[in-house]
Amino acid sequence: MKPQVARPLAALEQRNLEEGGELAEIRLQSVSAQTLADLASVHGLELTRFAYLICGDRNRADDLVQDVLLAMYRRFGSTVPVENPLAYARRAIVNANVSWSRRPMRREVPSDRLPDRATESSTPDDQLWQLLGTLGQRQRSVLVLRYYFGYPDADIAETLGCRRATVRSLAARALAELRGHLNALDEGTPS
Amino acid sequence: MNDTELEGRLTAMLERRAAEITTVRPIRFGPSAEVGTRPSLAPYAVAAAVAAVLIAVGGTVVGIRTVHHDAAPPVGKQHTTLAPGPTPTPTATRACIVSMPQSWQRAITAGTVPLDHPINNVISTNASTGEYLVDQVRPAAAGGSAQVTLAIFHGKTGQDLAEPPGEQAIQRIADGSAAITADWIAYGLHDPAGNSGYRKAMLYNRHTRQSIVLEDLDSIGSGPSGELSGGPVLFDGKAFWVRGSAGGQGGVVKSYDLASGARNSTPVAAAVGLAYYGTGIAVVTESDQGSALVNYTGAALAPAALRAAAGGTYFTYDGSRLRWWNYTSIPDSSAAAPLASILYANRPGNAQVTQQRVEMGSNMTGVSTWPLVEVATSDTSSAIFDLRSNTLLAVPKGLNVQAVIGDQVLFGTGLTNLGNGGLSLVSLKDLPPAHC
Repeated sequence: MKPQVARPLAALEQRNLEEGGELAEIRLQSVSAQTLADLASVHGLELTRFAYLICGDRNRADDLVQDVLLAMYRRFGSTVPVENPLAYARRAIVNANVSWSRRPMRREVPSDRLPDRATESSTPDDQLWQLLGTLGQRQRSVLVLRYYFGYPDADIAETLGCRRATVRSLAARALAELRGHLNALDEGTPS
Repeated sequence: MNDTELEGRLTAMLERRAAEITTVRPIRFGPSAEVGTRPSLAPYAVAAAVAAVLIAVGGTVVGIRTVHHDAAPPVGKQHTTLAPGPTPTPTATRACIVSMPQSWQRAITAGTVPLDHPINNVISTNASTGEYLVDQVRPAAAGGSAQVTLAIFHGKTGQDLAEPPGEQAIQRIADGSAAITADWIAYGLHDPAGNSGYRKAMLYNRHTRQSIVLEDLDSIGSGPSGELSGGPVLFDGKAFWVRGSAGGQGGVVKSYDLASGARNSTPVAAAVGLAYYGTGIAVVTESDQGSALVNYTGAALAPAALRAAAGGTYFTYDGSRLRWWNYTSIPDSSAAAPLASILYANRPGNAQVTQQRVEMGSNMTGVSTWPLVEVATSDTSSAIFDLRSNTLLAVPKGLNVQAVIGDQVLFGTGLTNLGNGGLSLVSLKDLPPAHC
């Protein structure tokens, strides 16, 4: 297998790598897989984490990754003839997540419990995580790719299949929404 | 809070949340990989596990069968009639499990449909003509590409559609009951890594064997800013389909006049799909309050049916009744089985809505399989619920119900992670109800 050149690491990934961080190690491996078995075994965790961050639900993240890998197997067989299978899988997960969110039949469980809301009693982490769930799917995906993966806008655009200007616009609006909600929470008023 | 502070918080939070995921669900590749089951449902044995065909859009079959996380299986069954008004909550009872009768096995063996592809999924039927549409796949060999064919069958004979070459889609999407007429076949193309997953809606002229593109998101450069939703529906001389907005708030029902080619668009807030019921079409909407049906064109559904359809999923039409599933809490249930799968039915034009709670029932193909419901697939066995006798049948591993077309049942005879294998067409009269 011809090794591929890893993309330049973003500052965040570089920092993790220098610190021996697990995430950076995983990301470094991410461009070398060419078989689906490799993709699943080497990058399954990364893909599941990615899916979790963009959809916010662990079970759904598992389903998204499973759907995408099986669809890739059906399409390509055991060897994936694309330049970057991991990028392909990420993009497919983004699409699958959007499709999933639009399906009226997704298996939401009725519950007597009210959904969690960002409140003053929540931790700041919880608040931000819950507010992330109020964003559109594309906005959320942009933030995950930018701030978790440290992707430049060009790579985000490639992953999402849109223009760089769209990425900038989605990110700006998402950040503005988050900031507005957080400021409102800090001031104790609902936004 | 400035942008730098927010970005810092965001990065740290995402890192921490990602670190919560430390394990990965194992995935088995290959035709021999049977559909698996969730360990957490092991106590339910045969009737554990979960739904089968899963990627569906408003009664539209989209793709491959696999195992998903679903609601915990409910227990018991009850058949009631729902008068207009509040929905009664069924009570829980246990169902029995019996082995599939030998006569069924003989009939299924005799009904084998000759096929030239290893994977065959029924994605639409026409109850009045007996025709059915099959998404056929030959999975890719190493380094190659999958061969995907759409074929129209009647009885045990099929004919490939002459689709335009060069399509990269690996899945075909079709409305479960309104994709086939004597003159036209309507379907969609789905590419998981394309700009928009489900990106192209097509119309196939059965006489000229030519295709018309109803909508192509790629060609207009819209990519991810919108998505087609649900297979096109043929009704009243037109093809209808839904295009949703990226944010999910908007929605447009589009139409194409089959005679004149005239196109039309009607905004419908939060539209995510169409529900065809023979004499009309309702729009499936999705909002924070859940899903709902809204009358759109043709004879209207009764207000009682619309009320009962609130929160409903997987709308199917079998030529006589519109059916859908809903899930409801059982107040007196144990924690292990907090939900019930309720199958609703309404004869269009009638205000009466019936409901039947089905033991762990979760047939989600978008294609009507009444009166059989596929309820379980595990590593060792599969199960089908026979609603005629309220009996759960333990069936050979991989056996599943693809569709019921009038009085004919189309069984799938080999369910794997990549889809269904063979097909068998059996008369319902050769499948006597089994009893405990």
